[in-house]
Amino acid sequence: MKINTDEIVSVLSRELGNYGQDLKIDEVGTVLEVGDGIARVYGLKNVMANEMLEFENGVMGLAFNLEEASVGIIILGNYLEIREGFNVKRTGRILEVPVGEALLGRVVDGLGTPIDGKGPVNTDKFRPVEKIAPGISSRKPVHEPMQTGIKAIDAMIPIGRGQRQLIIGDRGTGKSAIAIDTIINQKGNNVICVYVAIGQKASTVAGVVNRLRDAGALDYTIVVAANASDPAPMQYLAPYSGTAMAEEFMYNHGKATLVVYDDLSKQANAYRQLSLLMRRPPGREAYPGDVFYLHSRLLERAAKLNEKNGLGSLTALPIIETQEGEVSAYIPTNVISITDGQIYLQPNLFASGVRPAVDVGISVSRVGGAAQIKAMKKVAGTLRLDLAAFRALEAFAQLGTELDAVTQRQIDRGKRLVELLKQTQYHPFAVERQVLSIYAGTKGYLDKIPVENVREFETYMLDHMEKAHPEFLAVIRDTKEIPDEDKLKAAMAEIADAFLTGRKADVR
Amino acid sequence: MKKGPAGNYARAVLASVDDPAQFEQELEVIQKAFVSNPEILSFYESPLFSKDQKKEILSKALSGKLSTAAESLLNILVDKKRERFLSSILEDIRSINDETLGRVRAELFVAAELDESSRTALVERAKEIVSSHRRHFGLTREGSLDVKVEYRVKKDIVAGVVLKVGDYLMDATLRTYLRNWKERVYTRKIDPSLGWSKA
Repeated sequence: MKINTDEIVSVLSRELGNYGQDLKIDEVGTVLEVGDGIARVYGLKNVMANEMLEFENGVMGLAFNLEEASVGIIILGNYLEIREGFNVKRTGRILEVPVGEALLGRVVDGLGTPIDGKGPVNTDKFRPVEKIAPGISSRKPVHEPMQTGIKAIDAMIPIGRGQRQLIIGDRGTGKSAIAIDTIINQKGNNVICVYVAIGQKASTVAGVVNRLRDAGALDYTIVVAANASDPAPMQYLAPYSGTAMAEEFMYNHGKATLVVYDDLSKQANAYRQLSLLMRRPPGREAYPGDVFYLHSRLLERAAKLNEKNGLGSLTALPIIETQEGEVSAYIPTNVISITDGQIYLQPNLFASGVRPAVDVGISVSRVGGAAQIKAMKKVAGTLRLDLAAFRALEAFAQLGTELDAVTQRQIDRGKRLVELLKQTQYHPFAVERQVLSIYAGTKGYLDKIPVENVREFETYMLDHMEKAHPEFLAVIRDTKEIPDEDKLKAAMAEIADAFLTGRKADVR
Repeated sequence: MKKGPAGNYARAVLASVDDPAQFEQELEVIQKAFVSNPEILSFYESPLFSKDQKKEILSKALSGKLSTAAESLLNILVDKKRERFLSSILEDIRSINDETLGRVRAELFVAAELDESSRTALVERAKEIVSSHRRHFGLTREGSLDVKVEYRVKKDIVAGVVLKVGDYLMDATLRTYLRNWKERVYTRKIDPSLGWSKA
């Protein structure tokens, strides 16, 4: 880009000509004290709750506490440059963030300011960060699937568009991995994704952004990052900003959207810090009394809109990190009670190689079958039962005692199904491939395959299906039904035989 | 309305005097005398002296010089052991009088020391602005306003003036103008017809 000095001079002289013409009378207050991301201000008698305020040096703030003699402000920016005695100006506006298509592929902070070094966000659309969730009359029940691309989840804990599904587990159990796989799996599905990173290391966020870019997922994704080094107010705000950005697509473009909050325990910590600094009384675990409302008003904004409102949807995937599997702590119980289901991740499963480490026994989705295609509903019913039977018998298997044939068969089936549900990270499965895999498992085509070869067989089977019988995949994709079962069974048996003989040949 | 005990005393005593402005001045003199002589203030506020001692000394020192209302107020405060409230009562009297008499306190900041004539002209202009734009300054009173302008020099505004009335501020300084300008230049979309040209 070349800069033409004459043009700059003309812009400058025009600006100078306007000097003194935009005189305004503002309502102001004076900073009494400042520190740790908050300021106490005297004056501003008419300020509104949640109004944006501007400090003398241009830093923005948010009216948080309206008290008799002073106003408590959370500072959205560098608070170290604000000093006692500064003037604080009312803006008369509620906090807003830029929204719209210009944000796709960008990394922004909690105020919508770009932090990816790609220049300004070119949009003139704004949306309030805090917005009341849609009411009953504008919603409709959740009925379409939001495919995660993860077999264990799509088969047994299905997520629907407009649902709120919690991902909960200890540190290092692959919570974010599930969310990121889900975002990657939305490629080509016309779903807008928002990934809100709260209180994470900047390096982790950079890693996620690169991952998404490599997978081609950044084109339909907005990343809102409030890193661990950002002040608490930004970490508190980021989930609301991300939701506002998604809502724009849900309400005004009628699109399906997916928002991942990674993770809400850190947001609760940031909110606790702010509340304690503001001297709001501490309650359980020192969280303020309204910490439930903090999450409930956020997650209520997830919705499936009805025909009158454009059929858009906002699916929320909040993530909560537990300490040593303690799900009865304050924040986990709150969020569990708000959401429409939970995906539990277990460290011992993760350690024993079951990845994703989803504990299908205690994970639930309250929307259930409504969010599955027919074919998946059909194959997954038996999967659940087989796995439940396996878990009940698993303890016997470890004793090494002689078992009757039926029990032994159930255990063998269970082991293979567990193996089948394992999946590598960043490799989401399209739903038709998932259906075929699970069909093979529940109809017993895996029973003759050694457990350690199950995943190898799965790839082999899917490759062959794609090459030799693409019609099966197409039927599932288009009609959402299981294809002609006799033909499918014959093809399956053929492939299984071919695999087994091929393997024997290898050994020889 | 002013809350708390000081506000109650202020309202009560103002209701009983004929000339509130005159009474305010009287109290101001007393307050000034108290503040400039810490011994007097500590004597008046100290619980070590009995009520009678205080009243006796007050009457010896002040009788005849003060109106009955002022003298009674001082004595009542002694009787009720509320001597410490004197200064906040005065403050409340001042703000009640501001409201009833239409007085407005304005602060005027300029960047450099001015000569006498331009200073008076500026102060007069400030008074005019406040009365003519009173709604913008959060003033609801109709009729005439008695604007008292306090004039101060504040170097860091670079040039121009700041006029402050209560919580409202009119900022006509070069500092703010430059700051806003900078922000506009950074964030505004530049008109392609005269803006950046691509190489």
